[in-house]
Amino acid sequence: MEMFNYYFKLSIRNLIRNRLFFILMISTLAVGVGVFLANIAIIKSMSSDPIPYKSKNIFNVSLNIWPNDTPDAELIEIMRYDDAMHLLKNNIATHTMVHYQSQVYTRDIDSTNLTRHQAVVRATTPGFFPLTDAPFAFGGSWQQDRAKQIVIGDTLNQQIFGGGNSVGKTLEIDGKPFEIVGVLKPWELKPLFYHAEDGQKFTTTDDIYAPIETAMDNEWVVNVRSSATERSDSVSDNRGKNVFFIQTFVQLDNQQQKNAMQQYIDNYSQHRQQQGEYLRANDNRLLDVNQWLKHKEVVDERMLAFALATSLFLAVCIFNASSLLLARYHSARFETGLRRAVGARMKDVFYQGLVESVLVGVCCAILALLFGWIFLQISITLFPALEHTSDIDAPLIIIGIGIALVTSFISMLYPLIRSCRTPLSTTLK
Amino acid sequence: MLNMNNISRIYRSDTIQTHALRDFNLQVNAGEFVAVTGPSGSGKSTFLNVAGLLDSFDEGSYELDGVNIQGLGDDELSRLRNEKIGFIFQNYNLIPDFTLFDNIDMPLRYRSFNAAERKRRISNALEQVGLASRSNYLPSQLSGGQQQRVAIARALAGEPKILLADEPTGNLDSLMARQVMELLHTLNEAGSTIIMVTHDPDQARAIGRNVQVIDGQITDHSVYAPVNNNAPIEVKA
Amino acid sequence: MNIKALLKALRLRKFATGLLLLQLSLTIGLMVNTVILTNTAIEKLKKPLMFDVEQLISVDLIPTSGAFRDTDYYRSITNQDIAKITAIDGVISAAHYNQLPIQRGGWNGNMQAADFPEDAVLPRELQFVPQFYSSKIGLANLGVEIIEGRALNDADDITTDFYTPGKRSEIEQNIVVTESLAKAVFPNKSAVGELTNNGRVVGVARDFVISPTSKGNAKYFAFFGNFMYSQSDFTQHYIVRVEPGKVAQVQTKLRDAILSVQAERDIILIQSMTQRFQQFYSQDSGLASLFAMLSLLMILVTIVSSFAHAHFHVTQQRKFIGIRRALGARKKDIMLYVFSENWILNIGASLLGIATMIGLNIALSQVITIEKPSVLLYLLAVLVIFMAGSLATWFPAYKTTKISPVIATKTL
Repeated sequence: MEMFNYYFKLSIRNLIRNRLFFILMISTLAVGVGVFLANIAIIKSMSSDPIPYKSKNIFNVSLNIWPNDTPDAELIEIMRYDDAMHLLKNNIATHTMVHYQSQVYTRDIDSTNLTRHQAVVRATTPGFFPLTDAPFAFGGSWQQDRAKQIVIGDTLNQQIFGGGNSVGKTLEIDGKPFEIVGVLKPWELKPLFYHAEDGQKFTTTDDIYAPIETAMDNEWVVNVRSSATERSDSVSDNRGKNVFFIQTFVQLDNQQQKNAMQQYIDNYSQHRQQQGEYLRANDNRLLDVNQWLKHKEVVDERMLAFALATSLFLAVCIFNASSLLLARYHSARFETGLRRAVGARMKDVFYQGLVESVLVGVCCAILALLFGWIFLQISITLFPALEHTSDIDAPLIIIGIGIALVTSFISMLYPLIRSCRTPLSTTLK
Repeated sequence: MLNMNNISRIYRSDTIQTHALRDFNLQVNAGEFVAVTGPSGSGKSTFLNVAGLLDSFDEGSYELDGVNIQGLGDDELSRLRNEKIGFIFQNYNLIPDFTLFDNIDMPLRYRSFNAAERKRRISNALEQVGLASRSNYLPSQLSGGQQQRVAIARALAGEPKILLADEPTGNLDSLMARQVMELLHTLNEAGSTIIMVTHDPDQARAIGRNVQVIDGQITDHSVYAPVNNNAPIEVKA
Repeated sequence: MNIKALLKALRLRKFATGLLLLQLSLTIGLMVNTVILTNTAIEKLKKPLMFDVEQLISVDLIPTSGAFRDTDYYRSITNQDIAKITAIDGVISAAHYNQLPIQRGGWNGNMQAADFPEDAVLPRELQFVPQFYSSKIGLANLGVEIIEGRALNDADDITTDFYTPGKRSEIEQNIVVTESLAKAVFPNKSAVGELTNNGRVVGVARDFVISPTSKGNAKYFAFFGNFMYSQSDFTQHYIVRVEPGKVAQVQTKLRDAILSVQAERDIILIQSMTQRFQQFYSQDSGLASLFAMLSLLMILVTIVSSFAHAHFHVTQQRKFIGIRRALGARKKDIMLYVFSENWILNIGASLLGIATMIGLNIALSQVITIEKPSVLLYLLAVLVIFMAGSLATWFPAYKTTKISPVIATKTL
């Protein structure tokens, strides 16, 4: 510890004596680390696992029930109402949920204020809650398929009721009353795996969760990519027609379940084919959450391109710092040689260099976090799609400090070895 | 104290081998003051580097204070340099932005002395060279002779077995050189073993034992004799 | 000047020189690729859209009240809106649209001749043809002319039939198609009078850009029908055509005009078509800006490192420079000496830069579409590096001229 203090004092003296040099070196290194950090912040949250403890057990079901076989035809995840109902009722999975996204305007039916709030609706089935582990603050799910009951999210609860237990209160949507039976806690899911569509991969969780039958009965708009091969006059008219708009997720906790489900969907699409449907030559697919997010290209390829560039930039900054340090150690050879002559071991010289690199690393880390934050803000301004993706959180700060320390150590390493290796008898003449 | 037997030091470049030391033999006893003289390129500096464990040797054996140097690793050599040897360089080799105190402190830091012990040794050493009042000065605030005395103090603070001085007065004018030499003689009388490389025959003459190095070998163990047919021509002032 | 000696000096410091070379060459590689990305983004923004973008304002809005589920009510409000907007000073015309040009995705469907064989495969670009529903002035409002046949008229309006129960399935609508679409569906004859799965073609409109990201002529594909789509939970669009130069002035008045007709609407967005277009490519231009920022930083780092190296070099060689001066070197000889080291490094880096530039381009092309680098861009990047390096070297080089020859006679 005493040696550490001694070296620490020496390093500070060194930094101050060569301040122009160290300011330049540390700030270039910090810029490199900062840019890299900002990029990691973005990619890390883009590629994070939204539900790590069971992401391997939750699967998106992509059924081969699509017409129009062309060579470039892809398997698409949306399915018809009838397909979804078959999956829902097959009882293979631990939990099954089918859903489509809608949007309504709503207000507290008892309020004198007539302002309606825009609300994103997840028209789904009760399996949604146990499957996604949506955290209830109050109440629970609806019990009947066509119940005029809904569960609301925390944000909407704050907006309309100012928070609190709103179970039993009523919302008005399109002039009709809907009873609130559950209220969720603040709930973040990044990426929003059950609705990983363009522009929505990183939005917040939904405002209203409603029974899918109720939503369709009330003609709540299908607010998501949908496709149809025949005319449907309204949302409720979609039942029984070739309108593709529902996504399905299942929780399969073991291999038997998974095999059974795969078997089921294979049989299902085969059955459909036998009934005369003209299908694509694609497989039915069960993709777990991470495979699914990869399939949906949640990590923006542009950010990957930028990541490539920022890593190169970081390399440039390290090269720069390292060659600068080499020059500096070259000029500090005399002192090193002298220390060696009076009995410092290589270890001592190395230790001293290490302390200096830690000091440089710490300065660099502080600057890098600052730069990282600035670059993240710049990235978000220039690239609005990132807005909800990322923030610099505690693990990232630790990563940042780690990178700064490691890069400054890497930069120091070769120059330090070189200065240790200098033959003693030549430096002191 | 110091026992070199048949030491050879060979420098190899791409095509040429140079014997900087060849079958070099020297024994120095505790308490001796030895002056090493010789023309430029004779091997004096190599001898001092090898003796001071700054450079390795190719053949022969070298024993310092009872420790056989052969085969020791860098850590061991560093420890020996630190504990047994005190260096005094021609150009002082003080760190310009360390105070006198910090300069003398430096070698002590590599031994596990506590702060009080280090402080005691530094004050003692500065006292011995007569600079006790200036421990917070920077080297640049001192004259050349004073700087060399600081370097001597730095060498003394470690309480070494042997002092190795390389032309310690080479950069000094005659008055300052005399003061430094007086200091070294005083130290020798107090019991220090000193080996000093010098150009100056007058200085050598004043020292108990002289050895002359020519072509990497010791040619003369005698007390310095000005009339020596083998010796290079020397011009006296 | 002794280039050999310089090279030797650099070789002695091969690690530092190597790092510097790598650093500079990476900078060149990154800069070239950045400029490529920026150029592509700018080019995309500069491509003519072939309709009167500068004169148009778009409005996205959606009803918030259940009253709009009554389509008659909804339509009457829409008509009042259009009338109210048209009355604003500076407005030439206004119309409602089910979707807007300059879009990805949207309301698309397949488009084929009525007698297209069942078992034939429709080309992919004809499976996703944008379907536009507006009033009869829908195309004129955008500034797009009819080049064959006629424009849509009041008799073509299918709205009433569509919202009359039972009549919907009997509708055979009249449509206007764009020129490229007409040629794609009816390659060998005039499309006017022909029947498609989406109705009968009565006119052909001049091509204009509807889906900028589509390949080839597919970016011009669309058909227009005369229909006021009135589903209350779908976003409704208005496009307002204004007199030249009045966009900003009209833009501020639209919200109040619309809400004064009926307040229970959420006005999601009012923006000029120009803004819409910029926003459409905001991801590309955003990426280009990010790369540009990175390039600037790299140049900055280059300047810093060139400066630091020259500075160190000069500090270390003070004595030698002094000796040179004492031996008769002029100040400019010394400056040239310092500069030439920087230049030699830059020449080396430029050569290496070719490899990094191409390597980075290939690596980037694995994740995004990027054009190949050109010689001109390369030379430009080299020039920038030389200029940045020389600029940064100038100060340390200048300082060498202050080194006095006296230093040579001093012993250190």
